[in-house]
Amino acid sequence: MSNIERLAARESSRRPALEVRGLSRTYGSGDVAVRALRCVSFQAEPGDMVCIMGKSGSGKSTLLRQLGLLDRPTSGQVLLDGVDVTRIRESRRRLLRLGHLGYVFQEYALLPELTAEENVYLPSLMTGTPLRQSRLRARELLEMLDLEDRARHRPSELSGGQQQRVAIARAMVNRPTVLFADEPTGNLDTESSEMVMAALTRMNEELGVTILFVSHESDDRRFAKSLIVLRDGEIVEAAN
Amino acid sequence: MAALSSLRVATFLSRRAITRGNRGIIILTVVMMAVIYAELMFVPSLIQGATNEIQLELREYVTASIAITPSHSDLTIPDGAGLISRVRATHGVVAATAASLAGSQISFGSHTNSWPVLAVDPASYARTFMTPKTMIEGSFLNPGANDEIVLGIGIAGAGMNHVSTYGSSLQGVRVGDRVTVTLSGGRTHLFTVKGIYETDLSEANTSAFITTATADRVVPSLRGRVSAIYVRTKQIGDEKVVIGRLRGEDRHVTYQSWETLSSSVKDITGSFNTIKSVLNAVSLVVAAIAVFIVTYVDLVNKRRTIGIERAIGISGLAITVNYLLKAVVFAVLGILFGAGLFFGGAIPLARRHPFQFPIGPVTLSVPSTELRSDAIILLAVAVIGALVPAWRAVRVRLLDAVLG
Repeated sequence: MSNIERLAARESSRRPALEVRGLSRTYGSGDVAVRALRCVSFQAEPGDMVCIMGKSGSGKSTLLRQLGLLDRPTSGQVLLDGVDVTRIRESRRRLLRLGHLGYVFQEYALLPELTAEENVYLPSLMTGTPLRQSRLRARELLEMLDLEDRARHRPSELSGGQQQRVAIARAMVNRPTVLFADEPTGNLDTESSEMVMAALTRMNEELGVTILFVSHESDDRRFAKSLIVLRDGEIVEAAN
Repeated sequence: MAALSSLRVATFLSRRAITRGNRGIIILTVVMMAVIYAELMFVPSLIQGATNEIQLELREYVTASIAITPSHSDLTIPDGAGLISRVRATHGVVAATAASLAGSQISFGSHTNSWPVLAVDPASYARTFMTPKTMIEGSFLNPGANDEIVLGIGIAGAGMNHVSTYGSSLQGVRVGDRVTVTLSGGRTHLFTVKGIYETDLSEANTSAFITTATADRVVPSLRGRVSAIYVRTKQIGDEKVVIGRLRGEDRHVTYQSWETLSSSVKDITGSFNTIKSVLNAVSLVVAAIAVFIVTYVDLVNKRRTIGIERAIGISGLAITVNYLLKAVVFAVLGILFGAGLFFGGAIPLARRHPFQFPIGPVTLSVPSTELRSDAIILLAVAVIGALVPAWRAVRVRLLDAVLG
């Protein structure tokens, strides 16, 4: 490795996994305009686990959707590994969602016609990975999340907590650098919530993925390394 | 590479959706496709059946398989007797009969009109044509029938005013009545009506027949003169081959197959084809709308699923092809099922209980080209019906799709 390459690598490791600069999102226009996000700025370091909290309507989910490239902000920038991804074409955004980002929805969002294992390895197939390798990776993740015996079950045959863990495995299958989870325990009972949060923590600690999760349960902050509190679309508290 | 991955994922998703999807919806879609396909085939088959019936009747009652007529301006075939012997000896010929035009006008009471009066040999005529089997009164000529005549219902009328040509017929002629025939050369002669026939083809019901023996006696100038020779071949379709064999026999005659002579019914079949085209176009529009609605409803229900697929990085191509593949599989299953319904149900049923048309009983006959083209058209309709809503679904704003 040359000196220049070594410097570049060091620079890269110092770079935040995710950086948000003056992000705003307004829905509608004129008198009916709703400013869901107002000039939000923060950054998440590689390996961080950020909890985004706030009351209902504070802009948590809106923020996560901008970061997860499901929506486009009205203004501001989102930088992934130093690269501005705000204005790039949809085809490139899709590739980023496929390979660099993972997204866990509140309602599990598994495909009902696929088994747990198939749901997990579907994004891997999309990257061109051979089926056998994709299946192996899915098995590893399901095993890690104590779901190896549910691999061949369809979503309708799994509990909410199990479905959410399958969704986490799916989000992790392509080894993303950042994983977003939008109220992953919102529909779960306490015991299942604990298991899902434990699963996310394990992904963060063992696989080193940066995680940003949204929660309205103040108790969930104990799983986070950093905390962002939103109110009316603005950050009112940010702490490590 | 990306396109290959998309195709692989599309195949993966469509396979799972077909094998594990909602059975009720899948069955309903396939049944709908099957019914549309059967419906697409039904009208052309019925029209083809009617066309076949017309052509069959034309062959059986008017033209036979091959008609040999004098060339150019000749009125009779030179050495007709010699030619018919050679024709009968030709490979592929089952029967042949000669006919001579013996008269052209028939009168009964105050009614008079012009119809061809043909002198025939009853035995060979009965082997070549089916007319003698369609007698509704009396019987056909026999070789010893002297001064007897057989009339078509279009000439006799026989009091049956439902007959389309009743107004121009002799109207009240029955078996045993005597009619006056103006023979070739202008002489008139009285004939006793021996029989009245009625075929399903109205064009075939306006001929009158006397025996050659009677004609030779009452019109001696006709002796040995033949106006036409009609040939029945062993199989339908081998007329051209048999004509090829016959052609060397006599250069002063014209050989024409029933297909060539069927121009008289071309107007009818042409109208049928127009009706067929119009109905086919309507059926296709209905099919396209039905397929489109089924796919569209399915896609509307799957809007959120499509949103999730896009959110996790599945390409629009993979999602679209997934729906296209499903549409193709459902269309193919529908076509197979529809063909099964048609060939296993509709055709045997129509054979047992034919449709009653004015031209006679009509069964269903499927031209293989129609079968193929309808299948291709239905496939294309299914693909377009799936492509448009699928393409639109992957172009919806991602967040709107994800939120359902």
